[in-house]
Amino acid sequence: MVSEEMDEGAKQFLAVASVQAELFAVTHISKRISLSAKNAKAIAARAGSQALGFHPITDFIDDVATNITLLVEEINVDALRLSSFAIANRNRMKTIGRVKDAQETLGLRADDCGLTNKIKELESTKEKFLIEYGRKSSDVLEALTEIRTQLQAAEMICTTSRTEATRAGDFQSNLEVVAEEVSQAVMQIKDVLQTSKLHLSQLTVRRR
Amino acid sequence: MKTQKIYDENYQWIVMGRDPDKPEKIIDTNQYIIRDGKKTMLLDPGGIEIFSSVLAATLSETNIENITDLFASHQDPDIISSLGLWNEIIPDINLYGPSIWEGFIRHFSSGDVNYIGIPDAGSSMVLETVELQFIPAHYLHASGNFHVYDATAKILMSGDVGAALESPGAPIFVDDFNEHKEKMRMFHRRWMPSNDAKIDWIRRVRDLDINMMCPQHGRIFKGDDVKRFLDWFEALDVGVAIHG
Repeated sequence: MVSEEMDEGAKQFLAVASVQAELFAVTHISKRISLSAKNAKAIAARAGSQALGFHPITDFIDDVATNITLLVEEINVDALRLSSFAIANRNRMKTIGRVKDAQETLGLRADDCGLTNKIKELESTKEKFLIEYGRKSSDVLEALTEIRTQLQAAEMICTTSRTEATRAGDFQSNLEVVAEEVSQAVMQIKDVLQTSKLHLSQLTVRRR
Repeated sequence: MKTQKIYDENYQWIVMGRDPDKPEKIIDTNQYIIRDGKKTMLLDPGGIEIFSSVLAATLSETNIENITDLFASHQDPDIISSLGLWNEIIPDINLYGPSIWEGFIRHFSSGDVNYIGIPDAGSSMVLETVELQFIPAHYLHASGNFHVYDATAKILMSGDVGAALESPGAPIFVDDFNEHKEKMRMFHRRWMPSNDAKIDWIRRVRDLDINMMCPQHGRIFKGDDVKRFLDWFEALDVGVAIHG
């Protein structure tokens, strides 16, 4: 029973650590989007009046990349808290396991010396933790959803970019490449977020 | 885990050790309890792996609310790696330990344990009635190291000094010093780094009135065996690893 509980604690910690690692990857991708947007801006400037419609698009893509980076930074703060929480919980589970071993050795004496009540206290703290952990992981899930909203906007703008690129004459292929780069980056972020959400939601489901 | 009272007057000294449930590859350790009214101190409470046995043995002697203090002679894991577990079940527990090791020993817990640093020169504390002196034993073997002396019981808890590597079922007390000294030789020659520190410690300890010298590994020295140990240790060349 103890090892099963400890495994659960380790899983919580590993899930949060995985989310942190994946979010780190997202910041890299969003920086790449921002770079593509700046590249597109330079191409549009060279294209002059042929690519006038591209200017607001590049600004918008850059804004989306910045927003994603900021959101990820915020989520990382929450994920770090969640990670500390998960470590504390794993330690607590280990403690409870070892204290229960002592309880078994002591038999009836465990009631008299106050150990049985101490175990109840520790179990109660663990339950409170699980409620708090659930709240905190829901916050992270919510923040991940907010990134998804930003990505939907980016997807729409990618479609518009392709349309605008057809009007850019000699620069059409350059702008299409940029639009494609942004589109692929958005897809990558969506995949990463999906995995992160899966990690967190699996733990939420198991807890219930 | 075996427990035995070694002093039983207005307060008690109890030794715990020879744990049959201990994982085979970890070194056997002695833990000491001083039970003084509603206060209990554990000296070198040991590592994580033996926590359950030490807790059960301690609670066979006292109640959980009476476990108030821990003492760590130095920073080694077999001394105090169980700190996080003690701190989790008794959040307001005090830990007395060398000041210079505070930042290191805190790594064994969540970091918020009530650490009472012992300055290099040593210090003392009163548990409930008994005064305990923290005697400097630096470089024997750790760079910041203390022993605990109880002038009333005439007991010196001597940490790794006097330690012997023994089989799990060994007796609690030294019964034949000549035979026993061979079990201590390698440990002291290799683990104790400084002849100067050794001589200085022996000079100070000879001034103490000691009935029992209680190491963290091996057997307890009683009566004349304490003097025999000091003479033997004085003549022993330590810090031998530098010679290859």
